[in-house]
Amino acid sequence: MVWTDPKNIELAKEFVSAADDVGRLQRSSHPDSLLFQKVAEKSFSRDHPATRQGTYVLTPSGIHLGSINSNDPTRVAEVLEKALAAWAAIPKSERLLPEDPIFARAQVDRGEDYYPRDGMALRVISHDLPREVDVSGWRGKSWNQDFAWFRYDEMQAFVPNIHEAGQTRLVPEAIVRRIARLHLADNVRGQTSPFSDANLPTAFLRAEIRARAGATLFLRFEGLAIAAQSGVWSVGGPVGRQNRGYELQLLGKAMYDTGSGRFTQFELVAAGTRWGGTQFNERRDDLATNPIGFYFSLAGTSPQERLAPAFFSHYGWR
Amino acid sequence: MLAAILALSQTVVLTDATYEEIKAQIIPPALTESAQKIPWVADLWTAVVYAQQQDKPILLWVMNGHPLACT
Repeated sequence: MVWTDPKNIELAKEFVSAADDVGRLQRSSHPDSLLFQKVAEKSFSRDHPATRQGTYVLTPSGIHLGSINSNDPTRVAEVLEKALAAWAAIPKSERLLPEDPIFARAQVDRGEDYYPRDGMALRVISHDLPREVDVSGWRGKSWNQDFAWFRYDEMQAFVPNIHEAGQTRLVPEAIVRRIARLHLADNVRGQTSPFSDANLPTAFLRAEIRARAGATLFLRFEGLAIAAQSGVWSVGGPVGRQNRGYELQLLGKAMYDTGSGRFTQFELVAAGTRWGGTQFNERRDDLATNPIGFYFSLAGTSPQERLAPAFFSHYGWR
Repeated sequence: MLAAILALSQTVVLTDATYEEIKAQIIPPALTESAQKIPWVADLWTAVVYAQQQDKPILLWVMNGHPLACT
């Protein structure tokens, strides 16, 4: 692994290290994207406009110092070392921006700017569940993660209105269907596409207060989500007739503090089966019905855990 | 078709009794080691701000999807 290689970890200390989604950087006209596009035009990826994923080294002023798209730690280390030498040879006046870039931050519109500070952010892990015959190689070890966001009112909608044991409610359909469309799509091996509302014959989640101790409510969640889509698309090959979908049971538990109006613990498991694939989710050899699971839990508040949901553009919050 | 799919899907049964076992099967042994060992800044422009302040070059790792989240 490139970024667990000891030499590259040591080399990284000489840089400000950033990770980002290349899609937005390739397409938007915000300052960060324009900077990236300027550098990419001088890089290995200038002849690969479809996707420019990889590793780049640049100055704050936008000078390309090196770049590569490789999983070989040694080759990446070579690029980093050469880039450091190139950096040292550039006068400070040229490698830095003439103005403090902090003032241009307001021109950068990112999903993270819409983080629900008074709501709830969940980390969502997806992983294949055990099969009768193990899958070999990286495909057998794959997992992915995403984040699911809920505004304050949406967070409260997971709790029955009367805070007494035995009280129940159905979480509003719009919230559950958003979860089902955007956060239960199979991304275990790679990026996928969201489902549309029409693809969901069933999606519900029931919340029940199982007990109350002082200000704390102990909740249980139970539900079901089914998705099925048919159409014509590519699954990493020629475009053709395809089907994909899932059938997932939902079960979870949470602790809710009535004083602060916030969850102190929240977890939800979705488990069942999926089938089919999408263009980039690497299921072309695994289209049959097989087990899959998702685990939702409270995200922390570090910048790495405040990343926007992959399908944030489908939230309708902008 | 849906009925057939449902019939095939009985291999995973999520109940209160199986909840913890299935949860443990979903959570990977270790979350991204890279995120733990390199202090990644989660967006390019914030890195530009820091690099300008610290007079350092920027190491940028980009993927289809955010490398620290869904790729």
